[in-house]
Amino acid sequence: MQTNPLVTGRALRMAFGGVEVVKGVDVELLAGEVHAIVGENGAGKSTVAKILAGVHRPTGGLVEVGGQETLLEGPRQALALGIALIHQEPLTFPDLTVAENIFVGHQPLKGRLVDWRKMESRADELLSTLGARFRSRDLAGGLSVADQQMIELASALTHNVKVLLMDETTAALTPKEVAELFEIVGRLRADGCAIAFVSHRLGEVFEISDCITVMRDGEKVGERRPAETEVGEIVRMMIGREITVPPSSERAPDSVTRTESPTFAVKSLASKGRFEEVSFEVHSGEVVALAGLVGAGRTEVCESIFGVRPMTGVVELDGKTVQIRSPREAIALGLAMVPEDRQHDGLLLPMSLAHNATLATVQSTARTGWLADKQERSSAKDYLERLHTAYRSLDQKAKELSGGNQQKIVLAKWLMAAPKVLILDEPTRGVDVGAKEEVHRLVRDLAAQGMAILMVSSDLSEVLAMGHRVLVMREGRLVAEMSQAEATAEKVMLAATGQVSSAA
Amino acid sequence: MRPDPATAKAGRVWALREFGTLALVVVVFIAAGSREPRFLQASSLNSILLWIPLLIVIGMGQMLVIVTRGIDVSVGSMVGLSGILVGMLFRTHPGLGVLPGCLAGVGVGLLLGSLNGLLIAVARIPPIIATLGTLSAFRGLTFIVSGSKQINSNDLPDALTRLSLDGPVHVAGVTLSWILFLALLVAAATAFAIRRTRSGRDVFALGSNPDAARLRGIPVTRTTYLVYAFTGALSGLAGVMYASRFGFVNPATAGQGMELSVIAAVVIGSTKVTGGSGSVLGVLLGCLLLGTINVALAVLGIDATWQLLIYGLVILLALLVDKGVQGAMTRWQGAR
Repeated sequence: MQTNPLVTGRALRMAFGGVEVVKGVDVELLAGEVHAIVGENGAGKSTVAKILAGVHRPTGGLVEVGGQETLLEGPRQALALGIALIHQEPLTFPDLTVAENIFVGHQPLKGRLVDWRKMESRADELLSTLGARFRSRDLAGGLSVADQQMIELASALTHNVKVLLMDETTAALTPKEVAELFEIVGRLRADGCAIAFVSHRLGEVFEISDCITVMRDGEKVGERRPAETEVGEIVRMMIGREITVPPSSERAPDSVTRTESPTFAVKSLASKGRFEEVSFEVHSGEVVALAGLVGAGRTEVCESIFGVRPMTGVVELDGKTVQIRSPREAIALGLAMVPEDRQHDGLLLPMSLAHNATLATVQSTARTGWLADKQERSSAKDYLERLHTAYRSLDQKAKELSGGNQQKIVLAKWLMAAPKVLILDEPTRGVDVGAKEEVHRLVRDLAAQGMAILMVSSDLSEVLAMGHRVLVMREGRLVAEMSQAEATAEKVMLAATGQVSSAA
Repeated sequence: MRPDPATAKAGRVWALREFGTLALVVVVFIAAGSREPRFLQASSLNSILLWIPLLIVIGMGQMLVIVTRGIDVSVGSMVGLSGILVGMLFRTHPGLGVLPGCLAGVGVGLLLGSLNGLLIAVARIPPIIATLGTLSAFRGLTFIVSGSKQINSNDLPDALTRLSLDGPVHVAGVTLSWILFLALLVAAATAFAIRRTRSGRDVFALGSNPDAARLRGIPVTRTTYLVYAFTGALSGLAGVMYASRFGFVNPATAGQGMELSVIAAVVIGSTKVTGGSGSVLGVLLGCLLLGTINVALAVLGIDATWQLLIYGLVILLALLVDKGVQGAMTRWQGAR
């Protein structure tokens, strides 16, 4: 077997909007090897894969293909060089047939015309070697995620790939589908392909890879051979050593004076294909941290509770079962949610701070049907100042603020509404350290005032610092519940990656 | 000739949808015929067959535009400007043949459509805004170049008007005109191109999933540009057909409001407004239904002002039916 690197990334750097997400990473993909890239959410794994596939052009460093420095202009050129990327979300064309999806952009021609017969027979051949249960003439739109990924894989194979990059390809697959995928990967490896496998399912990583690169905060922390290491070491590398539980003065108090019945409880929540059997409760004055990896279903649970997406199960508020069919109903019942993507879901970016801050309360201040402008402005000002928000004027547009200050506006919006239950989805993602502490202080204050708070976070130190209790989700299920005293970074990570079935 | 290579099963559902359009044509015929037997005479069929060729030609372009999730509302103004310019060309060069005239029309349209294409594909202006702008600009230009003066029938060569008055096929008093055959030729060429060329398939891929199209290396900018340029070229040809059909070109009325009928025909013809799917056969049937309704209204003596209301209702009805069909398909696929 050859051992020369097919693709090499040297000192790769990547920044989005001034934030560096990949900071000088070296990676070498060897022929006949499966190379796993692992790390926590946001460690920069996917970005590295996308750089190697020509999707992103690195802001620093260089890519070598077959030992030659190469400037990848785009995915098309990467494909021409035999480098294919299978995306986390499959990139299929629902209105086109499977055959067309496989051969899009490079259909077999007869003269200058598309040769449908050849395209379909070659697609069927390929699909049968991959063991697909669908045919070339089916429409891609009705297929499952696993089948759609198989289409992408088939498409990559038609390009005569030498390097196959897989970005969290197994995230949406069932164990059986994963096994089938790995069988194909094994065949490609035997054929001398280099395979990069981005994942945070460590079990799979150990099963299939020849080499593991561990990333943390955009940097490569190390490279290991599976035979020479064990899961525990990889987890420790992923979370790093500097994760220490914050001093007790900064931690939320260990015990909460529990009200007799929880303020908020959910029982057996389920949404087909997203999550199932999710039950938990949140008491008044309590912060419950919901930890897990990206794709574990945490955001979906929050959105379902808030009426954004349909689900089955029971939601109880103050011991009474409630029906929430829309965010409007959720708000009316005293729920509030700060979404993960605040730019998209939480703020009206082109509108003024005053309008954004008062959005949730506009119904109550505008008694006569007209906006009570003066009243709005004075209460908005009051709240923004309490949150130490840095802004020039209330008429400033929300999009001009930094991430941290935007988040404060969103929080201010809900503070004014004074909800009973506050759901925070990644409240400090993309927020600088200073603002992060302020957001944390604020959340603690809110809990102290008696709010019941559910906080989704992928930031382990945040989970440990803020949560009176820590819940861990994996692949759509709650897999662990820990008290603050029990919770450690390692336990949470092990539960989230599926190394232990339960830690509590 | 079905350009959309749907699966046998999914195809059946859409064939049903197209059959529905055809059934509606029959319903309109029976309804109108029972109230006014004159409608069943050859003359109204002639009117219908003379009314639809322009619609078909522009509809082929508009269908592709809508497949890419865009829209082109400037088609009527392109018809007007091309009709006026080619009319002026005929006036200054009385000996000019019909074929060079048609080519000039296509050339003018290609230029105008290219402008739309550049605005949308390169400058990234939303299609509805860009073509709303050119709708107004092209119409204004039509008035300016013509000095607000109409092109009269004596300015146009007889051979041109004969294309509409005469045709190669006469059956029982019904004339299948040359421009109808021209339109069907355009439709056949379009059907072939979108099924058998890579660029044609790129149009459908782009409309089906723009993000995936970009990441899978489809030339998105070029494809987007091409559909608008193509629509422009066809609208330019339709401008010449307009001169042939009516025997005059008025800068104010030529092609005016035509965008609505074209979009209606395309949408009725089961083109998915959310992109990615559409068929030539569907658009042909859409044109036929619209033409039938149009002539039926005239024969029944219903005021022309009713047309707008009825077009609007028919468009909305078609969209509602499509929503229902798509819902049924999703359920069917989910149950699989």
